[in-house]
Amino acid sequence: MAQLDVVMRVVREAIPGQPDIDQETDLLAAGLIDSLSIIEIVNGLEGEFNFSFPDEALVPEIFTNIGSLAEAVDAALGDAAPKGGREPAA
Amino acid sequence: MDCRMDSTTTRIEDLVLARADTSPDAVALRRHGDTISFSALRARARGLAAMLETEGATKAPVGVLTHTSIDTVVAMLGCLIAGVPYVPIDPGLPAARRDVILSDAGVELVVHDEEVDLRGLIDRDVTLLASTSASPSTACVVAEERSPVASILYTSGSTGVPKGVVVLHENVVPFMRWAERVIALDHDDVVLCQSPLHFDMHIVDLFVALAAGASVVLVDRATTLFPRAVFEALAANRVTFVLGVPSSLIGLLRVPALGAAGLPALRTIAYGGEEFPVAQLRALAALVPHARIINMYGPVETNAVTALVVTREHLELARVPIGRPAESTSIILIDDDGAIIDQPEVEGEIAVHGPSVSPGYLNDPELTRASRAVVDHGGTRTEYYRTGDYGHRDVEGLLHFRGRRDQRVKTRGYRVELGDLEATLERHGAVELAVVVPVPHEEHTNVLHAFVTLSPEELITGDELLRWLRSAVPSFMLPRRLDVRPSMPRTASGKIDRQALLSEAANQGS
Repeated sequence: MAQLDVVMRVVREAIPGQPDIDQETDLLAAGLIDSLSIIEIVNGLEGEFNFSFPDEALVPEIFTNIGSLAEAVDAALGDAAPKGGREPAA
Repeated sequence: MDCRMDSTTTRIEDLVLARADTSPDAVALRRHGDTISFSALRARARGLAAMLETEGATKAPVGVLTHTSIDTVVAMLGCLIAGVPYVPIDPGLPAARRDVILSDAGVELVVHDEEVDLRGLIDRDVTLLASTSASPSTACVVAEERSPVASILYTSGSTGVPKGVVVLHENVVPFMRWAERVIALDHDDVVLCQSPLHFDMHIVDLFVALAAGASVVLVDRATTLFPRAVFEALAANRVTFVLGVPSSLIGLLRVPALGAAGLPALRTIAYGGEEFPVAQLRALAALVPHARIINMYGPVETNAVTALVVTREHLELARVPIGRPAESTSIILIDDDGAIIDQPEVEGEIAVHGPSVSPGYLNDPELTRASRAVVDHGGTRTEYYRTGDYGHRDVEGLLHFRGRRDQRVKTRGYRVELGDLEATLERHGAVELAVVVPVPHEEHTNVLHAFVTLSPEELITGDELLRWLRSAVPSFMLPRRLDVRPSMPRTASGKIDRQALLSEAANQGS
């Protein structure tokens, strides 16, 4: 899965005040992100992971929390890595 | 008791629910595939009114948590049927601010739907009532004493305390009749309700729409952050009319499908709350050439009081005019001495007299008085509401908005008194002075940038202060950036140099 800590950092930097959030924090329900943050998050993730989100992928559901965003990045990258795992360094 | 209404209908709920007799099975509201007919809506609203009476909620205003849902619309209508004013409460409000509003309005009971997070309201001294706990009722019972007040709408106050605008049935009903005519709404319309229900736009989105017999599609707040999702709601529901603040409509410009004749059913777009930058409006008009675009201007204290159907000629001007006054409404421009300005092109303060003008602010007679001017108009002395907006009339009599001279700004359609934010920041123990500047933004109208100086010996970061601020002000009011400074720049006369701070903020970019 796309590194959660990277996704976390991108999201926190897009939220004024960089509040403490965890993987489960419901970003939309908590009113933490607005349309400007959404643009910043999308740009930030695309920059960090070097890809472009296809238009259809940018649905409200992927912004539910850090986990769902990471999954969306994976889907866009075509990454089939198991949830929560990263391949150990060879 | 006979509840049949006649042409002298003076109450909102009677206008709205008349359709329950003429088109009982037509769809009134739609959300996530759930629908409710006009007759079912009336039955649910009557049931809620009966429950409010059982609970003894017959005098004090009733709070309604405005999570977007059918239940919330039932709650608003139920209050009106019961003859008590409703106070829309944004469920996202920080507890501190929400409690100030509940206390100011004297709310003892809050109605909510099943989905909303009750967020610590459980510990408060208010009775909580689920809208769904009331059984529908077909009985028409007219409450003994019905308040002339329909609602109290809270807005940002310059001293940090939100102020409640008292809205009467006799303000709303004439407004509804005019708005229906201007927008040309009919029973075959489908209206997208995408503004938060605590905005005064709900009066158009819900009441004007339903009274015309149109179906209203309710869109979740979260969805409105995603232009593509809004586009899909417009297309899938074959929406014919949508009202929005400019920032919500500008977002649609980023959706490629819009340009590919993506919304053939859309007949009318109306906007209000902020100025629409002309270049963006031209772009929108080009992408939906078959739709009329209407500019509706007016603060919450008067609701919309002018309208302009935007033409190609208007789109060639530097700024879009605000148009002509509503029915039975007089709009004048007054100079600094309070005298009426007759000459075209001369700037004055926009002042309004008409049925939709609110009687004033709750519990604040002084502020109410200060917002009025008694003007000598053709021999009679008439009281006008001073909007604080400045503008002019052109040679053809069209009104134009120029700007404000105070510290009230708009950010994505929301009104913010900069003083509200500054006073709130200065209530933090570590903050000595706070100044908030509005940095113009092509989509959000303004983004807010705060600067603070700290009290001696205090150490706190901008981010820590922003995190604290999140618990004190609604999220739309949160500055995008907060910088701690050793001191504020001053003008030659010793006043804080806001211009210098604005330049600094603008140069930093957002």
